[in-house]
Amino acid sequence: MCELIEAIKLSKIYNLGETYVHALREVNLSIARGEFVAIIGHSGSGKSTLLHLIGCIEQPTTGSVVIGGKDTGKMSQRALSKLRLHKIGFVFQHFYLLPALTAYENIELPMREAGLRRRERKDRVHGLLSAVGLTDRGRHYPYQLSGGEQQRVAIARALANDPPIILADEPTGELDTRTGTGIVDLLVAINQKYNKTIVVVSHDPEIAQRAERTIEIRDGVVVDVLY
Amino acid sequence: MYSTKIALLNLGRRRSRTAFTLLAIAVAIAMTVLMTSAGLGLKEGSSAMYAQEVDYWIVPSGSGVTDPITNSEQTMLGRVHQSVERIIENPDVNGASPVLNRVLYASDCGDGEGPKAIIGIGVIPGSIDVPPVSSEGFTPGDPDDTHEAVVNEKTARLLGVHTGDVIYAGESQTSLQPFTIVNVVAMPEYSLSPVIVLHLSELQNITGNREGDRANQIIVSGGTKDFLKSIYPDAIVLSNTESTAYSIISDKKILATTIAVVSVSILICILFISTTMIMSVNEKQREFAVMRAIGISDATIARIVLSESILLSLIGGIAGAFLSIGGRAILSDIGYRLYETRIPMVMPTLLLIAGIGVAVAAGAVSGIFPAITCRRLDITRLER
Repeated sequence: MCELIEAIKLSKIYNLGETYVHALREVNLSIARGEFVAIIGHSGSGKSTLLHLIGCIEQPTTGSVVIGGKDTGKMSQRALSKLRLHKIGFVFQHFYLLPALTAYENIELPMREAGLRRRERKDRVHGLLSAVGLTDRGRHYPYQLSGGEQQRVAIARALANDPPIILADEPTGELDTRTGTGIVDLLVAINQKYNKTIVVVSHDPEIAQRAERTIEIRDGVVVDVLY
Repeated sequence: MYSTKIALLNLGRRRSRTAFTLLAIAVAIAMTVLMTSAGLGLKEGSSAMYAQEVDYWIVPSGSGVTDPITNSEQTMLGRVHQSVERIIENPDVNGASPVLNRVLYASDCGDGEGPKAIIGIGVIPGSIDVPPVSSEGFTPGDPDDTHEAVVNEKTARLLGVHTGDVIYAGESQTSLQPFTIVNVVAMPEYSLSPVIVLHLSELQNITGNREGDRANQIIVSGGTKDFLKSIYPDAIVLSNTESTAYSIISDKKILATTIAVVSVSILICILFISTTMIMSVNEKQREFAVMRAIGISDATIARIVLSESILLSLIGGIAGAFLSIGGRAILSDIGYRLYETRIPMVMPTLLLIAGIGVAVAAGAVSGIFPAITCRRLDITRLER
């Protein structure tokens, strides 16, 4: 398997006024194409920070993140924005759908930014709604959907531009156990069916069990890797 | 296009705040339009009232005044009878008249006791008949021995005279001549100043303007600008709409006042829109941060914020234009109830469009800062 994501001596220090917090300390990590990886750890261990650094929505203090062979530290903000649009799909704990847009429009949004034609967007959105089991919910606004349904829409949005990487930050954190299991099933299915590289940050033991690899982080350091 | 759609949807989500902001922008724009309109009205005086009747003004080069009442500048047009005859011969011209205006003294008795200063206006009756230079009741043409006069209500009240009475008027208090009042123009709009209308030749005679056949301006209904320009190549020919703009820029006082009023209004607009936009961006920090995280570019997000700001100001500006039309009627009514005269206000379409333009410009300017603020939004900071 070739490496799709590489973190090289990744450190992140937050300046909180008079104190400095070392969220990550020289983390090295490689994730292959098509892999399903779970990152676990206690609150404040640095796992979400690692995900944000991999997702290029935050810059490391030192070290670098290489995606598809390209060092993201050398990219401009515009290039990083394009990288996030085309190569990375994000799924958040709180779903973060745009409340003014319908489920259909939320999924369509990244496609519009990518400049896809109307016909292609339509076909792709319908395909994604079908893939996440929400064929008849396209016209609903987020407030009209349950938590599980909102997270499914968020997953469909993450897949909008067919990115090779899906990053999920506590995707089941806001959901009950049964709904959470459904979301994990969906992520596993996406990993297997579409060969997407999936990195999930979670406290959920079920996700850790179903991931191909589990990385445990404690105090900003990778302490354990289980296959 | 989808930036505009999202902006519209965002405005629709916060209806009460959007409605309040729209109202605030509308009021600010209406105030600007009304104040500018009142300024123009005061500058143009009662000529504002007949703006719709007159298509062109021929004024001497260097004169910026089209008001027959207040125009007392020394630069004048010459050979006006001859010129007006040539103008009227043109089949496209409906009517034309020279207008001479001078300050006169008038009294209801000829003994020279207590004459009052009033505005004297000389016209050629019959060809174009518009208040306040109405010549209804005059002998047609321009004979110089009719001793006929038309006065407005203000003069009638000032001197206590009525139709059929004799009034004594002249350029000095010691050379008053009798004129029979053939009509009192009973329109409050034209009663801001006391006015007496005479045959042009007679006013020329008593004010020493017969030599050179002089008048301050010529008003024309119909015709073309090119044709009128050929009659008076060295004068300025202003069309109805041009006269408003010309009045603004040719008078430094009104220009300065207009700039001050418009500046204050733009500032108020910018403050309202900026406050709303900053509140809106703060409220939606998370949404914009999420958009950035999923790869929506800063440029697109800035476009959404700017679209929201411009849409808000455009709708507010249009509402303000309508509000100013209503406000004009209300102010005019208040003026009449309080002082028995209408407040002269000039509100051409151009001014309303300019009001909307000011609102949009304010929206664009005030959207810039919130648009820039969006570039700093970061989902990690918001989640921490």
